[in-house]
Amino acid sequence: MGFNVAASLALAIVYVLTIPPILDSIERKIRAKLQTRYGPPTIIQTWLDILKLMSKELRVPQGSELSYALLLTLFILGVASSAVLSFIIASKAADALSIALALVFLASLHTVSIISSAITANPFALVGLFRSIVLSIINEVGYFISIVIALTSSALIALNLNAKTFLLLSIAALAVLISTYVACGRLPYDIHEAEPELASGTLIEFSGPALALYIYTHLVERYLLMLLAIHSLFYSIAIQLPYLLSTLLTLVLASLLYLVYGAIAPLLGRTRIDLGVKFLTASYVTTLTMWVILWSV
Amino acid sequence: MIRVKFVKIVGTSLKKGTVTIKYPYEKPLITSEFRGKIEVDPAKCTGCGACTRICPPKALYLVKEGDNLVIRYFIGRCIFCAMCADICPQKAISVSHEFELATDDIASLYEDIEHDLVKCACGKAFAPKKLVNEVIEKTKLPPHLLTLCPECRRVETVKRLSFRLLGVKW
Amino acid sequence: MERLELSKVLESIARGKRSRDILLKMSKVLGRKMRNVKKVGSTSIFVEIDRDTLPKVALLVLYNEPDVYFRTMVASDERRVEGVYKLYYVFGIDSEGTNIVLEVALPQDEPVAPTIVDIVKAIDWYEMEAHDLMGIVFRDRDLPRFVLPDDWPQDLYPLRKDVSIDSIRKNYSPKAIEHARAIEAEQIVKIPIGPYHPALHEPEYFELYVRGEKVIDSRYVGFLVHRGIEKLAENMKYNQVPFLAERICGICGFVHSTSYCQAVEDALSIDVPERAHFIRSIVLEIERIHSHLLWIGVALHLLGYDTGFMHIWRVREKIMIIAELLTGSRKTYGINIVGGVRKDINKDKIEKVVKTLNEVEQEYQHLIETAMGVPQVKKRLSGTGILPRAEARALSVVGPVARGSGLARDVRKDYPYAAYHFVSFKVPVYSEGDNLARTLVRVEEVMESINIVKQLLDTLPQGPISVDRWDVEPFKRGIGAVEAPRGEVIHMVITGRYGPYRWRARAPTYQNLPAVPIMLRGVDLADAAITIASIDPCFSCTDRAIVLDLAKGSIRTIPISYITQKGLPR
Repeated sequence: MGFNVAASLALAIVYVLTIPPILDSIERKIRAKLQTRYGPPTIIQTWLDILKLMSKELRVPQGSELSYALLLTLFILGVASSAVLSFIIASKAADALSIALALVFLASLHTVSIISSAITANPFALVGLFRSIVLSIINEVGYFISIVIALTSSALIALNLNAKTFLLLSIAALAVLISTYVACGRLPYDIHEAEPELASGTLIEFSGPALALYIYTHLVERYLLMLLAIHSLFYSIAIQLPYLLSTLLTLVLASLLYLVYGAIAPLLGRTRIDLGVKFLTASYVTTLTMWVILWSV
Repeated sequence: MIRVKFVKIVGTSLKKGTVTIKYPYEKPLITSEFRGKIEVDPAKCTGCGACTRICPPKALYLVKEGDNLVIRYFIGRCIFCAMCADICPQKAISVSHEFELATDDIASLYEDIEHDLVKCACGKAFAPKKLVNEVIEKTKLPPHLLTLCPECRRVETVKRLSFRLLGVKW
Repeated sequence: MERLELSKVLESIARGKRSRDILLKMSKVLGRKMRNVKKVGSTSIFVEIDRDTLPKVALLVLYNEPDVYFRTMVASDERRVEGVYKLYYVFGIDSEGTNIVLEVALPQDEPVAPTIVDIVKAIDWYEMEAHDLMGIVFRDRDLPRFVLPDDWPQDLYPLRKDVSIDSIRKNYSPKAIEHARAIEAEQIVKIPIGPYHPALHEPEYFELYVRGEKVIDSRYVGFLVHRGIEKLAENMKYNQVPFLAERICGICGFVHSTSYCQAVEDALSIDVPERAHFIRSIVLEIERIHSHLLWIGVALHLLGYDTGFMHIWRVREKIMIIAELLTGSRKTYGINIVGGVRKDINKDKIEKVVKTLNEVEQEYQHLIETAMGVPQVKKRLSGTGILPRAEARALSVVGPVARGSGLARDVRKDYPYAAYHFVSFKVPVYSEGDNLARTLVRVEEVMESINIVKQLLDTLPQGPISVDRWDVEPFKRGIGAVEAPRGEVIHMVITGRYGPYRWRARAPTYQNLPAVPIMLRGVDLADAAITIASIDPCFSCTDRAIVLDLAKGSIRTIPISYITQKGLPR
């Protein structure tokens, strides 16, 4: 059994560190298909882009040195989060400590991203920062709560599958899906780095290898969010399967969720911060209330 | 409650497929009316210079090189309006479909049509041979007058007139 | 002139009831000061007045009339002709399709005129431009540098006839200046957008003053693509100018060449054949369709809905192909000459065009339905960037900006030209004045244009496509106006021996830009881009006239600090 966990862990780590850029390329191809054009020529395009960026000149604009320093922290945090989450998936952990650890790592990753925008001297980035902070506060809370209630529902289903527990899982699933989507930073919620005419976030400071690192960490983070989401929703199935199979299933389902989200994003426009806040607050309050009421019944 | 009309775009995309043309590996999208670079037929051109007068950006212009008159076409300035083709009295200018004209050698963007000039008795080279021959053919005016430059022609005409009308010989 | 005789003369000159009433009112106010009144061209009545009576006339007679709008003002250097500078104020009576033009002569040693900016709010930019380029001084108002850069030498007025293009080159070369701007208050941050920003399609410079997310105020500094087109045309021949005019704008060039040709034809009373009118109208409407489709795509992109952008431009591609089929070029068609057009249409082309238009109509309707079904698109367009009707009237805005604020102004209906007498079409008008209203106006106009083209192709008359010959008479004046996709384009031409003596091209964005600061007040920063885009700004159209050499070779010599001269904080 120890060997199985170790094998699953190895599989998970390798997968998490190599597949997200490929998923990004597939997403770009899907978006292109929806827009009647070709998109990137190969599935490994994002990897090729990252490697190409590695070979470009590194130029640190005045005033953004701190952002560059934080970038290394970001990358290390990204790798560490991958390790933590891979371990959780591989060992099918669902205890409070592990989940808390996972959520803390993911939150730190997101926070460090925001901080690197905050400490830049670029005036445009500050505008995106304000929106990013507001959105993050609401959505991170939503994400945490949704993961917790999803895992709880999954655990309840594992104990006893009936209409009530299934309904609980469905409500939790709704909250998980919304919060995961928003946390990815896809349309309609890409406003922290969008309004490219006005505020383009930190991306404009990074060049060459730094940009490659940033993009890579960003893609891995997106995938990790999916991973935790799928883990919390399919936990009741995962615990019944052997380690290797459950890990593989979770990894693949998370990839599919990534691509489904990738297909939804081009269909929508960009929201505005006040509209986004209204929608998210309403969604989380409603789902949490419904879940709590149903649970206590 | 939740309107999903926006999902219809998926159907549209699937129906249309991919509309991008892989130019230059596929042929470019031009119609039969497309105006590209002009071609001047040196056999028909008489060097009258009408095209150089109408050309809006002055891509066609006249250059005097010794005893030759050159009509120079600088593709870099051409706006492909084809006014020259419309106005040429000899219909020597035709419009092609060529537009892939980028080059890193600017000298190749200049095209010249050279014309020998007729020399007047006084020595001045004043008009292209072909143009003078054309005028002689079309107007039936006396050739001995037309092969003189405008100043000499003026003098000669007065001489002949004064002889015919007043009997005065200069 | 005795009052009775005067009114008889005015009645004979007037083109209808409204112009007669207005002329009579003017004669009451001016009495003997109302000099020469004459009909010019086919739609205009020129009235010579003293410069001191200008405010009175503008207020009491013209601007208070509900159907009279201010169209354009032209400053002209006629010292060689009559020894004066002339100002032509063009007011249009929309309900009748008549122009009343006030002709004010200013002595050459004292080119001073009273300002009427308190009366006609829309004249602000015109007075500043006349001062900048021609040296006309307007009393009792500020005349800051407007079109020309801040470091332009003091007494060099480019549009004057004694200033040649060579002397401009000799006397001015751009310098870099350091600008320091203090931030006005702690919470107010200035966000510069432009002038050369990768996301903008043309160089433009808007300064938005924001507090948090709300825009408090804005400032526009333009004329960064000022190319000296009006001055250039004074050295060109009549039939070369349409090609220059077409390059005023990369999207709506044909309206400028048509407007110029119409102005010359108006001045010289050239009778353009019917078929040419039809062909011009067909190409104008095709241009309108492609321009609106372009705008809709750009608007969707600014709202984040890139998929909509891609699809709409895919549909637009079909229109570009038929434009090339009809005229020989996808843009800058080059088929207008004074007296008609250069390219004919045959049955085969008509069939292809009709077939394509039917396809476009279907796909377009489907796409618009889908795009409006995207929740973010509709939510962000409604209620933002409001231009109240009263402000719209005061600024005499034109085009979809006016029609989105409840003013039913359209040159095709008010001052009909070309073949628009022969087609029936609707002019969509919405009264909310927000971004959604302007969007819907353009969306519906595409459908109407497709309708118009089909009607025109159906009833295309036989005949020549241009006049055989026409004769030049110098110093005749003519006005030509066309409804461009962005609004009213109005050109005035004073003819010369071989080319125009004075050419004034006024593009619609020039008239609409003063409305942008009003629309931007109270708007969220996120919606600033779409609000600015909702007037469909065409800065290349707006910035035409004077000194071209700014661009020649200066990409290398003007460092980034030149841009700071325009006010970017560094």
